[in-house]
Amino acid sequence: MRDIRDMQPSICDAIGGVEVPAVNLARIRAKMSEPKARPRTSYVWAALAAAGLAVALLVTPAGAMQGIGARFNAALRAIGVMPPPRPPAKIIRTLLALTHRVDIAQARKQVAFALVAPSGLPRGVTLQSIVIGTPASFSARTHGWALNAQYVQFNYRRAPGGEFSIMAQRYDPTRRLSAYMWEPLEDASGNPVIRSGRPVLLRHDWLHWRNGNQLMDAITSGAITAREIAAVRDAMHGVPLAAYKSKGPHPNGKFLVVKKP
Amino acid sequence: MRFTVDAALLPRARSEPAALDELIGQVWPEMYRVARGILRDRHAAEDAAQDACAAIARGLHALKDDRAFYSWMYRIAGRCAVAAARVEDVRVPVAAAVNDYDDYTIALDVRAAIAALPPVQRAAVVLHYYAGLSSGEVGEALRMPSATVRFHLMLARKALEKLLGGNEAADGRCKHA
Repeated sequence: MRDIRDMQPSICDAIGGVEVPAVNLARIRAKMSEPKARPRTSYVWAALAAAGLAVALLVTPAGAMQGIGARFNAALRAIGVMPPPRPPAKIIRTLLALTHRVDIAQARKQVAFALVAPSGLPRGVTLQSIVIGTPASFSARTHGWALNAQYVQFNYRRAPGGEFSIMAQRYDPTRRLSAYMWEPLEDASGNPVIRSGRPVLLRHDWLHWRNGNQLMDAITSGAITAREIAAVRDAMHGVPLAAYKSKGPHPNGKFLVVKKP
Repeated sequence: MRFTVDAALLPRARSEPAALDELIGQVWPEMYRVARGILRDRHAAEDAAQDACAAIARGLHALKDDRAFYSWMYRIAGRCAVAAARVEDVRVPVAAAVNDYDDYTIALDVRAAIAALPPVQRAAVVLHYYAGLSSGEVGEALRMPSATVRFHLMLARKALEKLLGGNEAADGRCKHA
């Protein structure tokens, strides 16, 4: 077995022998003028925040959006994650202006992809509304808010009282898909649940599939299981998409993760 | 420190755009090598090295002691590459990354072995053994205590020894000595 002291020259040779491409001064100058990235807690939290906030914005009536944002931020703080700053008023105004209820025909006219409606839904499920809109997400890299691609959200109700949504948007092959959605567990009064001194996160499965140039996704909840979502996907002849199985927003044990039954 | 830039260039680079361009040209190969050592994808490495060069250009005026330039620039390179590695590790499968190394035989083994390490260990190895930073300086770059860096280095050493155990000992010195 080799000792690291023997390896050091090899490491220097290996790294030093890397073929270096020509410097692109124009690109570096352009990066110099970009806003400086602020220190971030974790890239994973950006995904958590973006996904969580997007979901919060999507499932919430416009008037209650600010309240949800504050609650979501409090939940993020509880799990030791720095929440994103409040979106600029311009972003909020645009979000509200772009979000409205439609029927399937109107939705098909307005989106830039071939919209395929969900089928094969579980028994007892009724369509409540179709909402078209544009989610906003916060980037830890640029420390800025941005509007994302247009989506169509199908909202369903399932007796007795459960609700869930299925989302459709234009397929983007560069987009990173997450296999899980993390949700801070709250008690009846909306406070984060702490167990053994650590906040508790629930892990939901997040399934993604593709129909042509449409990306569709759904998150498991008390109203729909992963198996039922997979049945919808199969009924639509959707192509399952691989997603990254993260270990959680903080792999340092600051929280407890509980897989939601 | 193995790598050096023209000593007269640093003060000039703070005020003269042409000198700054020259400085970037001189540090670019080192920025890229460090990024490439930490990142498995060459395009991601190029992007991270450009980020590091931009950060150096932006922060140069705030650097009070030019003697600290080298450890400062390596720390920036490490930080930019590690930030990119957190994203890259999701996208690039290990097998693809290892296949991407197509240079020399020994370099292939060592770089493939380094590429197989977790990103933090990769960064610690490159910054400590290649850039010559102390564990404290590596810790500053990676935002972790020096004891944690030493722990990661210990894990990396064990993993590298295991991965390279069957090879003959390589001789030679750092090319940039």
